[in-house]
Amino acid sequence: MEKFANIELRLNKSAKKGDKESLFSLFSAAERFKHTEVLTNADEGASIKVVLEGLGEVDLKLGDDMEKGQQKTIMTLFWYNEKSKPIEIKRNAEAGESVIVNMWASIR
Amino acid sequence: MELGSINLVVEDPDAALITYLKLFGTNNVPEVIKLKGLSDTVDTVDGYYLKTKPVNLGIFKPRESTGRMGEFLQKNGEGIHHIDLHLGQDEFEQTYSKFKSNGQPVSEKLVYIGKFSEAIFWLEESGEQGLPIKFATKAYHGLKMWKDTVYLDTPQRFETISITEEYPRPRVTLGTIMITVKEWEKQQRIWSNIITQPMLDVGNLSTLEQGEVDDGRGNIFVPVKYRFPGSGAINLYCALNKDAPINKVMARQGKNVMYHNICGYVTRDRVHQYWKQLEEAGFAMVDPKPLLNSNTGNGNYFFFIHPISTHGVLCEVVSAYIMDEGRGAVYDWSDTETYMVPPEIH
Repeated sequence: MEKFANIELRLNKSAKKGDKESLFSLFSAAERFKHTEVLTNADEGASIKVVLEGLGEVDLKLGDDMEKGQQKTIMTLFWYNEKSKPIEIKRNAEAGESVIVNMWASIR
Repeated sequence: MELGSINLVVEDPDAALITYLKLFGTNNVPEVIKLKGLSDTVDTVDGYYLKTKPVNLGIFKPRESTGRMGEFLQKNGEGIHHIDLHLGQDEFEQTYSKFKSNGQPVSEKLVYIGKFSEAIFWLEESGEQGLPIKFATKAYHGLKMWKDTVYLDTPQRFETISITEEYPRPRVTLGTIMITVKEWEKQQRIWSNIITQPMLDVGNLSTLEQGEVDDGRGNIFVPVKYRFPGSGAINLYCALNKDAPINKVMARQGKNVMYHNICGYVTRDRVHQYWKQLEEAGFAMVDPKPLLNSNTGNGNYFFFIHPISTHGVLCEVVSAYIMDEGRGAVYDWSDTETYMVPPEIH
């Protein structure tokens, strides 16, 4: 796995262990449109492991070819269906809490 | 009758002007009128009027927090406030009389905008259509109902301004306002009556047959279109699925009807280039790239820009097409530059 991107986002709502949430439900529009730098080239359709540190993780497919150095957002990395995929929450978390989101790409 | 303009209320008209010049491209906005102190007896506003063909764009800041626009801004924040429907003077006066005799909530009197020799009246939000609509005409002679008219020496000042910045874009036009509704049957009847033309069912743009549309974002709806002679259009969308995002947006604002988004059209072979230009300009693009609409053979690319970067307005862009009476939607290749098969083959 190669580091694809990382970003720190603030939770829009509280979540409980066992809840099923998604990038849409966890983060407000303002957070979802924060920019992050793409750290490695990756092709459309590549699987990206999105890890919300300590909170949960989900594998999402990239919506387009990405090049190292591009500025992207959660919104422009993934299509609607991917952003809506459920993430099982592993611990209780409070609204307003900062979450480090690390994204990893599989090396071909 | 024409869809004359889509009008926004904003906190900072200067910032909004730059945003929309960057969005449409300075090459696609041939004229910008700066307005100071434009009054209609209820609101006094400052702002800009952009000649974005075929439908113009008004950007206004109300001076007070009272009035139609002032209250809207205070309650909802920036966004689409109203549309202007442009009519010939005779039709304008007849429409006002008809609405008034039907008991519809129109302005108590017509308002004459002195410095432009234009007259207006409002169909208020309290009407069964649930949204404010302004009707306007360019007077070519004295108003017959001059006794029922307030004559205003307004705006205080106006000027056509020269734009020194350059934001080149492919050909982009502003053409459609999308209105989301809940009471499907009722709203079709209401809008057909206001616009005085029958609706055009468009599930399938090519065959003009009614049908559901799945926009790939959780909305499944049947669109109804009202198309004006000058190519402007009003689309009514009623989501059929309860959990549709467009219903959630209405619920958040406590509305059953709302101006949901504006829609522009871009040269077909430059959709992706345009999308990239907007992303680089800092607009909040909603998806990774333009989406190809394969629904019932539609064949158009489309994409959205989030209101967070456009002063509260959700903006949609679709690859350009024109409506042909016999054939439905016809792809508009009139200024295409890149192709493998030449459009002239037809």
